[in-house]
Amino acid sequence: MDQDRKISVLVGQAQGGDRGAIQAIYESYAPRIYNFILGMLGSREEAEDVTQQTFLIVIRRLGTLRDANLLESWIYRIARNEVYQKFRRQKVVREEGDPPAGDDAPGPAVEQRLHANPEKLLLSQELRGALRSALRGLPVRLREVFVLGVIQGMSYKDVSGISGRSILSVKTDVYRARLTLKKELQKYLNPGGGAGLGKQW
Amino acid sequence: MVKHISEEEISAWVDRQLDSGEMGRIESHLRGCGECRAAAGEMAAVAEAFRSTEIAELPPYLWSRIAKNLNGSASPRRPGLPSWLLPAAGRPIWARAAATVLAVMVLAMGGTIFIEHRSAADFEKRALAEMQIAQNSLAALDAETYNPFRTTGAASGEGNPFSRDQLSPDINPFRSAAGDR
Repeated sequence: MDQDRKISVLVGQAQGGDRGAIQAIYESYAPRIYNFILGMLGSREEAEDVTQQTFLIVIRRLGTLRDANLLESWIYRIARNEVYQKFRRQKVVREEGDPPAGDDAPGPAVEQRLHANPEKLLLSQELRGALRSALRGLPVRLREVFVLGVIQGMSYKDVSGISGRSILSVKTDVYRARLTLKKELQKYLNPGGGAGLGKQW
Repeated sequence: MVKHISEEEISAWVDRQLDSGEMGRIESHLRGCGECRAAAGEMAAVAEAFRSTEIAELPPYLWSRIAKNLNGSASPRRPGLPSWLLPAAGRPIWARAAATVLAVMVLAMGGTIFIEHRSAADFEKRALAEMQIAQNSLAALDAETYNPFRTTGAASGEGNPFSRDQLSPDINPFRSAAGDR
């Protein structure tokens, strides 16, 4: 059974109230949705709350979804709406980027993997902090397309569908985000900068 | 003079978001242009830095929280109760109003039928009981007078409101025209 057919069957079962199918949909999409929300908000605790709220809405409104092939972009749009509502509630939507307080600690699983090498752990923590800080410093509209199009590797067309902007606008904003982040992270990206990742090429 | 590729195009090329013709054209340019290649390398490094460190694991307890919340909001149907008897939360206002009006009508009709039915059945019983009470009260006051089986004084008509002696002949409806005159 191909992926589209499998999702279609799963959505049909979930719409009929099958709790197992609902959980399967959650398990398929929640990791990426959670990372998108975390990238936007920068705080694990807030990302958990918004992910929970997103999936509660998804489950309650699943009956209104007509085309199962649109499930992923539909979930992303709900998640995006919830993120923007969160911003509105916090009154932190500023195009110039006013970073809300986030947490830079690595997750338990990542920490466990890095524990074998304390030097690498320190470097990783420093880099992680710098990356999150730089991401939080981006204006929201740039942050959104960068998280979706670059970190999550989604097509610009899909990003356009989720964000409601033209593909051209997405392409331009991804470039602008990249340029801003490159400047912010020069120390880490420069091969002579000590703790840097170095050029991949 | 070499015409460089715009950085915006390089950014899209790094993300593999161009059509195959454009991808090929930029790749062939990058092979021969160190400056554009360096720019592409920096852009790819930014993406790689985020992709390699920013993947957070989904907290395993999150599904339990969602499931608990779902259970709380959509309580399972109670056995033996039809759905219209269940709490009306979530139903539209018109449905709740209609249900209330219907319930009042059913109660009113039921009450009327009950009262009518009870009246017809109980009326005779209540009337007999009240007659009995009245009889008992009078008998208690003057047992002999109101004793329908008494033997004394019956002939004189004493105490009998319908005896000939008690009634004036003018108003006695039972008098015989010949005998009483």
